[in-house]
Amino acid sequence: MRIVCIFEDRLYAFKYRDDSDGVDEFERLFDAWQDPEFLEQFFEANKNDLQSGFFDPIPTVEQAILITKVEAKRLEKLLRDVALQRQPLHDIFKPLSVNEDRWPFPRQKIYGLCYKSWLRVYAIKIAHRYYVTGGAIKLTKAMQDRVHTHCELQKMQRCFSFFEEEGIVDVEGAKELDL
Amino acid sequence: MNDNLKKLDSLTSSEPSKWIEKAEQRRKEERWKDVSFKVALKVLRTLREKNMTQKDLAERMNVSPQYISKIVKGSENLSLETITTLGEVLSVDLFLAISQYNTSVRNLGTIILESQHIEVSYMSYGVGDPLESQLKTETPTSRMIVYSKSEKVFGVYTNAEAESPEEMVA
Repeated sequence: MRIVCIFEDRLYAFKYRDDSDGVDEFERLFDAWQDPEFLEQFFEANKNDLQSGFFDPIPTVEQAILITKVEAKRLEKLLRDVALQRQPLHDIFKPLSVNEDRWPFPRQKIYGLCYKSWLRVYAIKIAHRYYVTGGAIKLTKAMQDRVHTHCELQKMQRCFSFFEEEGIVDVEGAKELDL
Repeated sequence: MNDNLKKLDSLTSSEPSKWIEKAEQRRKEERWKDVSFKVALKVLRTLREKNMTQKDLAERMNVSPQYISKIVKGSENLSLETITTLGEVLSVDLFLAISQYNTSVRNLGTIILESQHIEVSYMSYGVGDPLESQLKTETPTSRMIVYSKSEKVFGVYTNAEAESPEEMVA
Protein backbone atom coordinates (compact mmCIF):
# COMPACT_ATOMS: atom_id res chain seq x y z
CA MET A 1 0.00 0.00 0.00
CA ARG A 2 1.50 3.29 -1.14
CA ILE A 3 0.56 6.90 -1.71
CA VAL A 4 1.22 8.60 -5.02
CA CYS A 5 1.11 12.28 -5.83
CA ILE A 6 -1.30 13.68 -8.42
CA PHE A 7 -0.95 17.44 -7.79
CA GLU A 8 1.73 18.36 -5.32
CA ASP A 9 0.53 19.42 -1.89
CA ARG A 10 -3.08 19.11 -3.05
CA LEU A 11 -4.20 15.78 -4.42
CA TYR A 12 -2.87 12.29 -3.74
CA ALA A 13 -4.11 8.75 -4.33
CA PHE A 14 -3.68 5.38 -2.73
CA LYS A 15 -2.15 2.52 -4.61
CA TYR A 16 -3.15 -0.73 -2.97
CA ARG A 17 -0.84 -3.03 -4.92
CA ASP A 18 2.83 -2.52 -4.27
CA ASP A 19 4.10 -3.83 -7.58
CA SER A 20 5.06 -1.37 -10.26
CA ASP A 21 2.28 -2.54 -12.62
CA GLY A 22 -0.43 -1.59 -10.16
CA VAL A 23 -2.41 1.55 -10.85
CA ASP A 24 -3.44 4.07 -8.24
CA GLU A 25 -7.10 4.53 -7.42
CA PHE A 26 -7.55 7.82 -9.26
CA GLU A 27 -5.95 6.43 -12.40
CA ARG A 28 -7.99 3.21 -12.10
CA LEU A 29 -11.30 5.09 -11.95
CA PHE A 30 -10.75 7.18 -15.05
CA ASP A 31 -9.44 4.14 -16.95
CA ALA A 32 -12.48 2.09 -15.99
CA TRP A 33 -15.06 4.80 -16.64
CA GLN A 34 -13.81 5.16 -20.22
CA ASP A 35 -13.41 1.44 -20.87
CA PRO A 36 -16.36 0.08 -22.90
CA GLU A 37 -15.71 -3.52 -21.85
CA PHE A 38 -15.69 -2.71 -18.13
CA LEU A 39 -18.79 -0.52 -18.43
CA GLU A 40 -20.74 -3.08 -20.45
CA GLN A 41 -20.06 -5.77 -17.88
CA PHE A 42 -20.77 -3.46 -14.95
CA PHE A 43 -24.10 -2.13 -16.18
CA GLU A 44 -25.24 -5.52 -17.39
CA ALA A 45 -24.45 -6.95 -13.95
CA ASN A 46 -26.19 -4.04 -12.21
CA LYS A 47 -29.09 -3.64 -14.62
CA ASN A 48 -31.73 -4.01 -11.92
CA ASP A 49 -30.28 -1.09 -9.94
CA LEU A 50 -29.87 1.02 -13.06
CA GLN A 51 -33.47 0.40 -14.03
CA SER A 52 -35.00 0.56 -10.54
CA GLY A 53 -36.74 3.82 -11.33
CA PHE A 54 -34.41 6.13 -9.41
CA PHE A 55 -33.04 7.37 -12.71
CA ASP A 56 -35.95 8.74 -14.66
CA PRO A 57 -36.54 8.07 -17.49
CA ILE A 58 -34.97 4.67 -17.10
CA PRO A 59 -31.70 4.43 -19.06
CA THR A 60 -30.89 1.37 -21.11
CA VAL A 61 -27.52 -0.31 -20.56
CA GLU A 62 -26.22 1.29 -23.74
CA GLN A 63 -27.38 4.75 -22.69
CA ALA A 64 -25.83 4.30 -19.25
CA ILE A 65 -22.51 3.40 -20.85
CA LEU A 66 -22.59 6.42 -23.16
CA ILE A 67 -23.54 8.76 -20.30
CA THR A 68 -20.75 7.41 -18.09
CA LYS A 69 -18.15 7.85 -20.80
CA VAL A 70 -19.17 11.44 -21.53
CA GLU A 71 -19.40 12.30 -17.85
CA ALA A 72 -16.04 10.78 -17.06
CA LYS A 73 -14.49 12.75 -19.87
CA ARG A 74 -16.01 16.00 -18.58
CA LEU A 75 -14.95 15.28 -15.03
CA GLU A 76 -11.44 14.43 -16.16
CA LYS A 77 -11.26 17.68 -18.12
CA LEU A 78 -12.53 19.67 -15.15
CA LEU A 79 -9.93 18.15 -12.84
CA ARG A 80 -7.15 18.73 -15.34
CA ASP A 81 -8.21 22.37 -15.70
CA VAL A 82 -8.42 22.77 -11.94
CA ALA A 83 -4.91 21.41 -11.64
CA LEU A 84 -3.44 23.57 -14.35
CA GLN A 85 -5.15 26.73 -13.15
CA ARG A 86 -4.47 25.91 -9.51
CA GLN A 87 -8.09 26.42 -8.53
CA PRO A 88 -9.14 25.29 -5.06
CA LEU A 89 -10.12 21.66 -4.70
CA HIS A 90 -12.60 22.33 -1.91
CA ASP A 91 -15.07 23.58 -4.51
CA ILE A 92 -15.11 20.13 -6.05
CA PHE A 93 -15.05 17.89 -3.00
CA LYS A 94 -18.10 17.56 -0.72
CA PRO A 95 -18.43 15.82 2.65
CA LEU A 96 -19.31 12.15 2.24
CA SER A 97 -22.06 12.36 4.83
CA VAL A 98 -23.66 14.90 7.14
CA ASN A 99 -21.64 13.72 10.12
CA GLU A 100 -17.95 13.40 9.40
CA ASP A 101 -16.84 14.58 12.87
CA ARG A 102 -16.62 11.04 14.20
CA TRP A 103 -13.78 10.22 11.82
CA PRO A 104 -10.15 11.18 12.47
CA PHE A 105 -10.22 13.13 9.22
CA PRO A 106 -13.26 14.01 7.14
CA ARG A 107 -14.26 11.67 4.35
CA GLN A 108 -14.98 13.46 1.10
CA LYS A 109 -16.47 12.74 -2.32
CA ILE A 110 -16.59 14.18 -5.80
CA TYR A 111 -19.85 13.81 -7.71
CA GLY A 112 -20.01 13.45 -11.43
CA LEU A 113 -21.18 16.66 -13.02
CA CYS A 114 -24.59 15.51 -14.22
CA TYR A 115 -27.87 15.73 -12.44
CA LYS A 116 -28.26 12.49 -10.45
CA SER A 117 -24.80 11.46 -11.50
CA TRP A 118 -23.70 8.00 -10.41
CA LEU A 119 -19.96 8.71 -10.57
CA ARG A 120 -18.17 9.08 -7.24
CA VAL A 121 -14.57 9.66 -6.25
CA TYR A 122 -13.87 9.11 -2.54
CA ALA A 123 -11.11 10.74 -0.54
CA ILE A 124 -9.87 11.56 2.94
CA LYS A 125 -9.07 15.18 3.66
CA ILE A 126 -5.99 15.93 5.73
CA ALA A 127 -5.30 19.62 6.24
CA HIS A 128 -5.69 21.13 2.76
CA ARG A 129 -4.78 17.88 1.01
CA TYR A 130 -7.08 15.20 -0.43
CA TYR A 131 -6.07 11.53 -0.46
CA VAL A 132 -8.17 9.55 -2.94
CA THR A 133 -9.10 6.16 -1.53
CA GLY A 134 -11.27 4.95 -4.41
CA GLY A 135 -14.48 5.58 -6.24
CA ALA A 136 -17.47 3.87 -7.74
CA ILE A 137 -20.50 3.95 -9.97
CA LYS A 138 -23.18 4.31 -7.31
CA LEU A 139 -26.64 3.24 -8.42
CA THR A 140 -28.28 2.73 -5.02
CA LYS A 141 -29.23 5.00 -2.16
CA ALA A 142 -26.65 3.98 0.41
CA MET A 143 -23.11 2.79 -0.06
CA GLN A 144 -23.88 -0.13 2.22
CA ASP A 145 -26.52 -1.39 -0.22
CA ARG A 146 -24.11 -3.02 -2.66
CA VAL A 147 -20.86 -4.93 -2.34
CA HIS A 148 -18.86 -2.71 -4.69
CA THR A 149 -19.83 0.51 -2.88
CA HIS A 150 -19.59 -1.03 0.58
CA CYS A 151 -16.08 -2.08 -0.37
CA GLU A 152 -15.25 1.63 -0.86
CA LEU A 153 -16.20 2.32 2.77
CA GLN A 154 -13.93 -0.52 3.83
CA LYS A 155 -11.10 0.90 1.75
CA MET A 156 -11.47 4.23 3.55
CA GLN A 157 -11.29 2.38 6.85
CA ARG A 158 -8.14 0.62 5.65
CA CYS A 159 -6.60 3.98 4.77
CA PHE A 160 -7.41 5.35 8.22
CA SER A 161 -5.65 2.31 9.69
CA PHE A 162 -2.67 2.93 7.44
CA PHE A 163 -2.42 6.55 8.64
CA GLU A 164 -2.74 5.37 12.21
CA GLU A 165 0.01 2.77 11.78
CA GLU A 166 2.25 5.43 10.29
CA GLY A 167 1.58 7.77 13.18
CA ILE A 168 -0.51 10.25 11.24
CA VAL A 169 -3.77 9.65 13.02
CA ASP A 170 -3.60 10.47 16.67
CA VAL A 171 -5.94 12.74 18.58
CA GLU A 172 -3.54 15.60 18.96
CA GLY A 173 -2.17 15.16 15.48
CA ALA A 174 -5.60 14.96 13.96
CA LYS A 175 -6.68 18.15 15.68
CA GLU A 176 -3.51 19.86 14.69
CA LEU A 177 -3.68 18.79 11.08
CA ASP A 178 -7.30 19.63 10.74
CA LEU A 179 -6.95 23.22 11.88
CA MET B 1 1.31 20.47 11.42
CA ASN B 2 4.48 20.70 9.37
CA ASP B 3 5.84 17.56 11.01
CA ASN B 4 2.75 15.64 10.10
CA LEU B 5 2.73 16.90 6.53
CA LYS B 6 6.41 15.98 6.30
CA LYS B 7 5.52 12.53 7.59
CA LEU B 8 2.84 12.26 4.90
CA ASP B 9 5.39 13.36 2.30
CA SER B 10 7.77 10.66 3.44
CA LEU B 11 5.04 8.08 2.83
CA THR B 12 4.50 9.32 -0.71
CA SER B 13 6.12 7.44 -3.55
CA SER B 14 8.71 9.30 -5.59
CA GLU B 15 6.93 8.12 -8.72
CA PRO B 16 3.82 10.26 -9.34
CA SER B 17 0.42 9.08 -10.55
CA LYS B 18 0.19 8.33 -14.25
CA TRP B 19 -3.29 9.83 -14.40
CA ILE B 20 -2.34 13.27 -15.71
CA GLU B 21 -0.26 11.70 -18.47
CA LYS B 22 -3.10 9.38 -19.43
CA ALA B 23 -5.66 12.20 -19.27
CA GLU B 24 -3.52 14.25 -21.61
CA GLN B 25 -3.20 11.31 -23.99
CA ARG B 26 -6.96 10.72 -23.94
CA ARG B 27 -7.53 14.39 -24.76
CA LYS B 28 -5.21 14.19 -27.75
CA GLU B 29 -6.81 10.99 -29.06
CA GLU B 30 -10.33 12.02 -28.17
CA ARG B 31 -11.79 12.13 -31.70
CA TRP B 32 -10.86 8.69 -32.93
CA LYS B 33 -11.24 7.13 -29.50
CA ASP B 34 -14.85 8.30 -29.33
CA VAL B 35 -15.52 6.39 -32.54
CA SER B 36 -13.59 3.34 -31.32
CA PHE B 37 -15.62 3.43 -28.11
CA LYS B 38 -18.88 3.30 -30.04
CA VAL B 39 -17.67 0.44 -32.23
CA ALA B 40 -16.53 -1.44 -29.13
CA LEU B 41 -19.89 -0.91 -27.46
CA LYS B 42 -21.85 -2.19 -30.46
CA VAL B 43 -19.52 -5.19 -30.81
CA LEU B 44 -19.88 -6.05 -27.11
CA ARG B 45 -23.68 -5.73 -27.18
CA THR B 46 -23.88 -7.82 -30.34
CA LEU B 47 -21.64 -10.54 -28.90
CA ARG B 48 -23.88 -10.68 -25.84
CA GLU B 49 -27.03 -10.77 -27.93
CA LYS B 50 -25.69 -13.56 -30.14
CA ASN B 51 -24.18 -15.39 -27.19
CA MET B 52 -20.75 -15.28 -28.79
CA THR B 53 -17.38 -14.94 -27.09
CA GLN B 54 -14.51 -12.69 -28.09
CA LYS B 55 -12.62 -15.86 -28.97
CA ASP B 56 -15.40 -16.89 -31.38
CA LEU B 57 -15.15 -13.49 -33.03
CA ALA B 58 -11.37 -13.74 -33.28
CA GLU B 59 -11.68 -17.12 -34.99
CA ARG B 60 -14.29 -15.90 -37.44
CA MET B 61 -12.20 -12.88 -38.33
CA ASN B 62 -9.00 -14.89 -38.40
CA VAL B 63 -7.27 -12.51 -36.02
CA SER B 64 -5.76 -12.99 -32.56
CA PRO B 65 -7.90 -12.79 -29.40
CA GLN B 66 -5.53 -10.03 -28.25
CA TYR B 67 -6.56 -7.93 -31.24
CA ILE B 68 -10.26 -8.40 -30.41
CA SER B 69 -9.46 -7.48 -26.82
CA LYS B 70 -7.99 -4.18 -28.02
CA ILE B 71 -11.09 -3.54 -30.15
CA VAL B 72 -13.53 -4.08 -27.28
CA LYS B 73 -11.41 -1.88 -25.01
CA GLY B 74 -11.82 0.91 -27.57
CA SER B 75 -8.06 1.28 -27.76
CA GLU B 76 -7.57 0.24 -31.39
CA ASN B 77 -7.45 2.91 -34.09
CA LEU B 78 -9.66 1.00 -36.51
CA SER B 79 -9.44 1.15 -40.27
CA LEU B 80 -12.58 1.35 -42.40
CA GLU B 81 -11.76 -2.12 -43.66
CA THR B 82 -11.69 -3.53 -40.14
CA ILE B 83 -14.97 -1.88 -39.21
CA THR B 84 -16.58 -3.27 -42.36
CA THR B 85 -15.26 -6.79 -41.73
CA LEU B 86 -16.35 -6.68 -38.10
CA GLY B 87 -19.81 -5.60 -39.19
CA GLU B 88 -20.04 -8.37 -41.78
CA VAL B 89 -18.95 -11.06 -39.36
CA LEU B 90 -21.43 -9.87 -36.74
CA SER B 91 -24.19 -9.07 -39.28
CA VAL B 92 -24.56 -5.58 -37.92
CA ASP B 93 -24.14 -2.13 -39.45
CA LEU B 94 -21.39 -0.59 -37.32
CA PHE B 95 -21.40 2.68 -39.26
CA LEU B 96 -25.07 3.10 -38.40
CA ALA B 97 -24.26 2.34 -34.76
CA ILE B 98 -21.57 5.01 -34.76
CA SER B 99 -24.08 7.61 -35.93
CA GLN B 100 -26.81 6.36 -33.59
CA TYR B 101 -24.72 6.39 -30.46
CA ASN B 102 -25.07 10.08 -30.32
CA THR B 103 -23.84 11.89 -27.25
CA SER B 104 -23.33 15.57 -27.01
CA VAL B 105 -22.97 18.17 -24.34
CA ARG B 106 -24.09 21.64 -25.23
CA ASN B 107 -23.57 24.74 -23.18
CA LEU B 108 -26.65 26.86 -22.90
CA GLY B 109 -25.02 29.76 -21.11
CA THR B 110 -25.11 31.26 -17.68
CA ILE B 111 -28.23 32.04 -15.74
CA ILE B 112 -28.67 33.65 -12.35
CA LEU B 113 -30.81 31.67 -9.98
CA GLU B 114 -31.23 32.57 -6.33
CA SER B 115 -28.31 34.99 -6.64
CA GLN B 116 -26.00 32.28 -7.92
CA HIS B 117 -24.42 32.24 -11.33
CA ILE B 118 -25.07 28.83 -12.77
CA GLU B 119 -23.57 27.45 -15.91
CA VAL B 120 -26.23 25.48 -17.69
CA SER B 121 -25.53 22.81 -20.18
CA TYR B 122 -27.04 19.51 -21.11
CA MET B 123 -26.02 16.11 -22.26
CA SER B 124 -28.04 14.20 -24.78
CA TYR B 125 -27.81 10.64 -25.91
CA GLY B 126 -29.49 8.14 -28.17
CA VAL B 127 -31.34 8.63 -31.39
CA GLY B 128 -33.92 11.30 -31.78
CA ASP B 129 -35.05 14.52 -33.30
CA PRO B 130 -32.95 17.61 -32.75
CA LEU B 131 -33.37 18.67 -29.20
CA GLU B 132 -36.01 21.20 -28.40
CA SER B 133 -35.15 21.90 -24.85
CA GLN B 134 -36.96 23.73 -22.19
CA LEU B 135 -35.64 24.66 -18.83
CA LYS B 136 -37.16 23.52 -15.60
CA THR B 137 -35.87 24.67 -12.26
CA GLU B 138 -36.03 22.54 -9.18
CA THR B 139 -36.23 24.37 -5.93
CA PRO B 140 -34.90 24.46 -3.32
CA THR B 141 -31.82 22.59 -4.52
CA SER B 142 -31.01 25.14 -7.22
CA ARG B 143 -30.30 22.34 -9.59
CA MET B 144 -31.04 22.77 -13.21
CA ILE B 145 -32.56 20.05 -15.27
CA VAL B 146 -32.93 20.40 -18.98
CA TYR B 147 -35.64 18.45 -20.73
CA SER B 148 -36.35 17.90 -24.35
CA LYS B 149 -39.59 16.80 -25.97
CA SER B 150 -38.17 13.74 -27.63
CA GLU B 151 -35.64 12.40 -25.18
CA LYS B 152 -34.41 12.90 -21.67
CA VAL B 153 -31.31 14.94 -21.23
CA PHE B 154 -29.45 15.26 -18.01
CA GLY B 155 -28.90 18.81 -16.90
CA VAL B 156 -25.45 19.66 -15.66
CA TYR B 157 -24.97 22.11 -12.86
CA THR B 158 -21.97 23.94 -11.54
CA ASN B 159 -21.72 26.44 -8.73
CA ALA B 160 -24.99 25.13 -7.35
CA GLU B 161 -25.02 23.81 -3.82
CA ALA B 162 -26.96 20.65 -4.23
CA GLU B 163 -26.82 18.02 -1.55
CA SER B 164 -29.45 15.36 -1.64
CA PRO B 165 -30.47 13.02 1.17
CA GLU B 166 -30.00 9.92 -0.96
CA GLU B 167 -26.27 10.55 -0.99
CA MET B 168 -25.94 10.25 2.76
CA VAL B 169 -24.25 7.12 3.94
CA ALA B 170 -24.52 7.61 7.68
